[in-house]
Amino acid sequence: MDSSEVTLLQFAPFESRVDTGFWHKLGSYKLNVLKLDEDAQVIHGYYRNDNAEALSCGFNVDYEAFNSKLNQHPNHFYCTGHLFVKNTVETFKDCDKLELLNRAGIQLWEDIKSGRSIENPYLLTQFLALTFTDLKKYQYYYWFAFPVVKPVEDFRATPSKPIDSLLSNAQIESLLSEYVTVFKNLGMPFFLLKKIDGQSVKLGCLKEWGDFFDEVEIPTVVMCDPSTLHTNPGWPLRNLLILIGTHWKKSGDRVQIICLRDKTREGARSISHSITFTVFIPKILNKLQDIPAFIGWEKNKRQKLGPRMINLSSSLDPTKLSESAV
Amino acid sequence: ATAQFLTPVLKESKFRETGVITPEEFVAAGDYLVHQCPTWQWTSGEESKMKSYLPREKQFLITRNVPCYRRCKHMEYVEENETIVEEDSEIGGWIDTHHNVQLGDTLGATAANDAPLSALQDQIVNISRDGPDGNTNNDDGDDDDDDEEAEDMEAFEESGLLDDDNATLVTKDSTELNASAIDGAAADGGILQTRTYDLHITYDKYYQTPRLWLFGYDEHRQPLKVEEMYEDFSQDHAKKTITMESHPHLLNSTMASVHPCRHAEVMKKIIQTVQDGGHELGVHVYLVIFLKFVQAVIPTIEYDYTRQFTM
Repeated sequence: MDSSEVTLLQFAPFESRVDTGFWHKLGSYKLNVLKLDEDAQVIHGYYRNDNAEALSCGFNVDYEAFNSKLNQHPNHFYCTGHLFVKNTVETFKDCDKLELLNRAGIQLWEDIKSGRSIENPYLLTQFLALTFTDLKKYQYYYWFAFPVVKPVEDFRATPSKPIDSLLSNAQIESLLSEYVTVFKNLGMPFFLLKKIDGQSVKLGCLKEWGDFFDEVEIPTVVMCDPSTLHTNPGWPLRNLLILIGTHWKKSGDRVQIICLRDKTREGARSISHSITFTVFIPKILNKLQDIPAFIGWEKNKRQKLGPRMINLSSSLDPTKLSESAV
Repeated sequence: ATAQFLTPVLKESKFRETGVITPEEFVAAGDYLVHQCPTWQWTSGEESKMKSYLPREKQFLITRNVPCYRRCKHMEYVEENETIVEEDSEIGGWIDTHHNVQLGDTLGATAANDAPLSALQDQIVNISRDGPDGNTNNDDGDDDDDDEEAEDMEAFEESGLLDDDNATLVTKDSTELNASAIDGAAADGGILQTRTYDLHITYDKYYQTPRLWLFGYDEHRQPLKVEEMYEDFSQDHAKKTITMESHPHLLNSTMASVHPCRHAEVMKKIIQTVQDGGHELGVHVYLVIFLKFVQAVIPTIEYDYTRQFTM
């Protein structure tokens, strides 16, 4: 491989997409259940790998976020998050965001080291939602974080290529049918891939790594990718690479990544717009006993680290509604 | 083959004669839509608002984050429009080439003019009371509010949270790009911050037809104001057929909706046309056709539907 081809790998960050139904739910949850409780509440969100062309990596939180039993929509990759509902705008502003993120990060790091996230891969993609609701003004302040481990070295990879540079058309079809039948129903976001012959591929779970990749020099790992960019993978790949670098590969080793993207047109399902990279596992820590740094707070619309605010008075405020009704 | 599997045997079906469908037919048509276009999915909505005539898990259909890359006026006033329409008709077949005008007119016919119906209708909201020209003034007012909000939000920004990460891709702001740059970014595979819509299809028990609901977000995920959504509705229809109403399956949720008072009539005409052409139309394609014809109202919202279907 020509080493000059290898460049910095950048990941498309998640963009929080909060359904207004979530804010309605949160309003009544705060009034009736939480009251003044500011402790973390467990909620759910999800991403998809069939986003419309050129859209950002959406991370959805909707009115079902509080449900303990989620409807298992086939195209959703569910994630667990911690919701903090602050009582005043001051406590929202003043609370220690670095500390919140680090606490989540340390749990993430524990889950990676202990292998819990090998058994439960969704643990690699967790989120925080810090909120303050001004129910009188119908204003909702929020700030999401998608914690990731920041390795001490940059991620590096070869430029992206279309999936058909790696797999034959028959193998792509085989991947699609395996993915649909075996894995999609489990909502599993990551899996292992091995070519059987020119016609077909075999898939496996992360926990099968050792036996699955016996004697394979550059393993191929599939990530269901919320990114639609031709050049960059989505956010969930970051912690997956850290997991791989912690358990199975050392820094400088290569892993072939398939960013699996799904779309259906005219009733025909296709993954042929998926992309692939050869990624170099970065050095994660300087010393084995170190705790890595964590990042992940979402940027605001000015591309600065700051919260967002949504104003629902036009769709909720009875006085405004009556104004717009003729 | 899928169609046969999904289409139930319905003894009381009247959709060919009247254009209306039963809840069972709505579910069958929804199943077909979800199968053909998986960005659409069934959802159950609020527990307290469940309708007993629909299955628990199939109360209404939803598709989220549907891009809307440009405003309607760009389509209506830009020369490009010609091409868009032609492209669409090449793929879209018979509706565009033969019936678009007719369907559009029927759909756009003001419900208020329809005396027998008007008494029964929910209040029709003229969502742009000031008309397109009046919007400029509205926008100015809104901008002031937005600026104030933006300043307030700047006060919340923080440093010291490690924002110098090399591995995080920086997102571009499409509001700073012009239309050709938007096309360029899409073609190059760049990220676009664009307006998006959530679309819902409910079953309207009164009109016995599907009903389309819309909720729009701007480039920064702020809910669009009614006047802003108006920019994404065809000018011919927006003032007459879009109403703001509370959602039948969600709590306290007011959304824009394409009023269903003309839907059955339009569907009946399409079905008639197809039958005149010697084809039988299965009820499972009802929603696919429905989405095709409501596109006349929201031509720039790029939701997913199957353009080609066998009849």
